[in-house]
Amino acid sequence: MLPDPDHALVRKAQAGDRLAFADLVRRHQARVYTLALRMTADAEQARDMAQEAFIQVYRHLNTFKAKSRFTTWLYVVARNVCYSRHKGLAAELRVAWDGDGTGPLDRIAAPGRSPEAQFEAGDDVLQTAQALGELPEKYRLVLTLFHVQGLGHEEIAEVLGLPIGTVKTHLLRGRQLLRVRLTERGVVPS
Amino acid sequence: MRAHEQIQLDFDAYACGRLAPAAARLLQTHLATCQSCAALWHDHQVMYQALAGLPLVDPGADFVAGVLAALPAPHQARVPELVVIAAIMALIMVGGVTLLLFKADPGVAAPWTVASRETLAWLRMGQRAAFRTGSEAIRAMPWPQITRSLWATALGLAVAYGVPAGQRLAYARRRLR
Repeated sequence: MLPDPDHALVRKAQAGDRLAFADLVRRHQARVYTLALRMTADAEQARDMAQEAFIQVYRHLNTFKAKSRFTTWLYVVARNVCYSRHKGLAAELRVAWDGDGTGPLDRIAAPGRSPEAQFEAGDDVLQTAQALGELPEKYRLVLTLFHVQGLGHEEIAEVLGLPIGTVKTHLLRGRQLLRVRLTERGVVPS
Repeated sequence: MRAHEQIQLDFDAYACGRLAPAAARLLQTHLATCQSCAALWHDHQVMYQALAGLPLVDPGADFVAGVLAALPAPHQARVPELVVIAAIMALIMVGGVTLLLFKADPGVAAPWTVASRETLAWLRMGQRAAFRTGSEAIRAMPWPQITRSLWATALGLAVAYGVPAGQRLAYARRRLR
């Protein structure tokens, strides 16, 4: 395994260096927030969960033994925080598209363009994000972790607590379903 | 069917260049001969491109500051915890010493009645100082440390007041005989 670039910062943070922990937060805030956004479909809740995830990481930092990558452990904590805050919700979360061109995922579209312009122009990235948000959670999460966060099969299996074979199957089925949704939207040819 | 499924499950590793050379050659050979898997591989490549365009979402400029502001205080709890325990134990000991200060003598009245006013005044000053220090430290402590301190206090109370209480009982029994 290649050396983890975060381990040095983690060691400093474990020794009480708050600036080192702030650097860790800065490095990974987008990853954690994006994951929380995919799980909650609410920007404010996702921000709260992402913050709570980092607080939990800080509280239990001394339990991290550097045997795995820091990002893997971070994602596990973030996942647990999101699940614990969403007890009782249906297992399959869907992104709510408000219908007026705004929504929690409008920030990922091209900056500088109004949500309405993006919607009318059929911005492919936004369409893909919307279609991804409509997938069942099990596919949405693995696709996000693999394609957006850049995790490997083993890491995804560890984060989500699934067998590697299941991760691979979810990726396969998820992409097939995503293609169907994008074809319906006219983003990809049938 | 299983061979097709296994080939399809290897798409990700092949796309990322992580598939072992022998398995990669097997996959390439299969794709050259199986139209359905080749079509599926093409579909997956289209999806890879579509998903590769999804960026990470930034939570905002003040996110880091918000996290740091919400973090628990760094390892200050140990100091106020020890101060509180020490202050409470001092309070208990001063109270206990008050009772034990004068030697019990069967021929005279109970020892606490012969304590001089000055000595008691000094003892009360010490108690007030210990109480003030303890209450300030308690206000600065998080709840888990307060809980531990209360247990330590209960133990100290049991020891510090149990001993003089036992001695008073023994003294009372001797006087009754």
